Amino acid sequence: MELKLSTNIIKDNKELDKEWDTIIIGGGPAGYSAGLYCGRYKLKTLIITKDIGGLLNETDIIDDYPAVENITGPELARRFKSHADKYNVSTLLETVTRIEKKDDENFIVYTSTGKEFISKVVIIATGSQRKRLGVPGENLKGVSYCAECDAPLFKDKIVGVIGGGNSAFHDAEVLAQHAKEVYIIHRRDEFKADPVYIEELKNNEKIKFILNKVVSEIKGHEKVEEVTLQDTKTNEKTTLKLDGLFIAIGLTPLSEIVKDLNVNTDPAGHIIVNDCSKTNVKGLLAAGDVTNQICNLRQIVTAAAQGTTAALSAFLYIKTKKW
Amino acid sequence: MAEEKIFSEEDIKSLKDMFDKSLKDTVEIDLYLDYEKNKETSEFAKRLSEELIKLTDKIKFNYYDTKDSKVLEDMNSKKLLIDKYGNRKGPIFVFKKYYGAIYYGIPSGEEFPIFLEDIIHISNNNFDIDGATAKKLDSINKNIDIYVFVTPTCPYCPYMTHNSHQFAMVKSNIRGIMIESYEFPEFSEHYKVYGVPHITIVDENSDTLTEWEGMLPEPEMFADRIREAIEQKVK
Repeated sequence: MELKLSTNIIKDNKELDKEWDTIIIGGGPAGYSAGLYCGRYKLKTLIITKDIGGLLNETDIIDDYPAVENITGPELARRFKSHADKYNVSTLLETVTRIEKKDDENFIVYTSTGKEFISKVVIIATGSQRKRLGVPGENLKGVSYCAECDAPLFKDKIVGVIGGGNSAFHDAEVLAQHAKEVYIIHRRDEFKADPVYIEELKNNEKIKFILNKVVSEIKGHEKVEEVTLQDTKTNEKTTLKLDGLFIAIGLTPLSEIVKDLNVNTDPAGHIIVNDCSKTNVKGLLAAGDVTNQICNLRQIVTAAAQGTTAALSAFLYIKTKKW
Repeated sequence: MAEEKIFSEEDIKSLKDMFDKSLKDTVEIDLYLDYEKNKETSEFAKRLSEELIKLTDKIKFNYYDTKDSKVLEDMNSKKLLIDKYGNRKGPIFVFKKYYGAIYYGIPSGEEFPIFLEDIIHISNNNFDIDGATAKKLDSINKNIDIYVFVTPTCPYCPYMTHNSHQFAMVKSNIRGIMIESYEFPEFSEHYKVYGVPHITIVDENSDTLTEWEGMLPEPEMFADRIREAIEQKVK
């Protein structure tokens, strides 16, 4: 049994100032990297986030962040935060409900408990969340988007994972530690997941693959009991009895918060930024999964890099007033 | 063969440092152990407590074996026997000074830092509650239990355990009960826990006032949910 020794969630309840140089929205790798660099640039910086780490929290072992081998997602999140803390970056555990332009040089940021802050620069680092499937029955109990959280609840049960990428394979691997059988249900006959992952899971006797099928309906009374599978080639429908269903079909950017600011976004909702993380709105920067950068590669290291460029842009803008 | 230690040498050093720096008054914890229904976890809970007390003299554990009828009477009078479904009685951790901050099951994985923070708060007699939340909690006068169903790997669950325990420490009519779903499967099944954190708020008759799945990090909004649920019930 593992015991973690440290946490990030304890607040100090000190009264926060109203005015800031930079407010960063989101506490994942992009947000805390931006925070770290803003702190080093001596910008008075507040991070407002509903959790520490964002999607990092839902990752078991991370082994693709350079120079940090085999670390858990929550532990890496703790390190991101504690590094920014060192440079006097404040964190408020709340949700931002609205951002508006106060005047040509300032934004007002509103939070879920009615707090209001004024900031010269706002950095959007809200990240992304798992896409919903959009089929009947998705709101039933037993449909989950976090295998890390819920896998222990399915001990000796039969579960399904929808998706064919790394997230789906990660979920299946975590679930196989508890469940009796795990079905990976994928709409194609080949996977996007890394070959190393595919190889590993093909050798796991608890994991079975259902290819060329989509889930068209989730059925059950109080919880998931079965799903309807539709063949993507023949349209033939079959059913599969399941106790739980985990959805890992990709990510959707959390950019809703900027919709009133006339920020340019791509058709999928990613905020369009340039190489320096600037949006088309003066004083508004964005970094990480919520943006259209970098080469469509949404990794911790790319999010961290973008957070860093956003911090530099914030520093230069505050200093020169040039956008 | 000697049992493997729970804490590594490195853990021991950082825990000792933490306790030396942070603990003021002694914190007493009642630990109820059910060797019949939860043998493995009760044994682990006992070992955990024994390793902790070696690191500081500011933490004390009182052990109770739940097969003793007098212990059961005592637990009954303190309304600690809440798992009527699987009839599991331990391991349960209860802070002697704050009977409302309770761990049903081992505070393992992501929950352990919250257990440590609880100890530090109680030892220093200060709590992590802001003014706005305190005001809202002050208006809750009914006896309620907040069940926080968790798993050890859930990174969002500690936010809810932490807030419910802080509520319990400042308001004696509120109990915050973390329930390790894995160790209390029948209890979790009764409340249809298929995703965590799962919050169920019950009144003194164990009637459910409200329940939801998911994290609510703002304590003020958590307090609002409780107030709304009580008001709905009164209507």
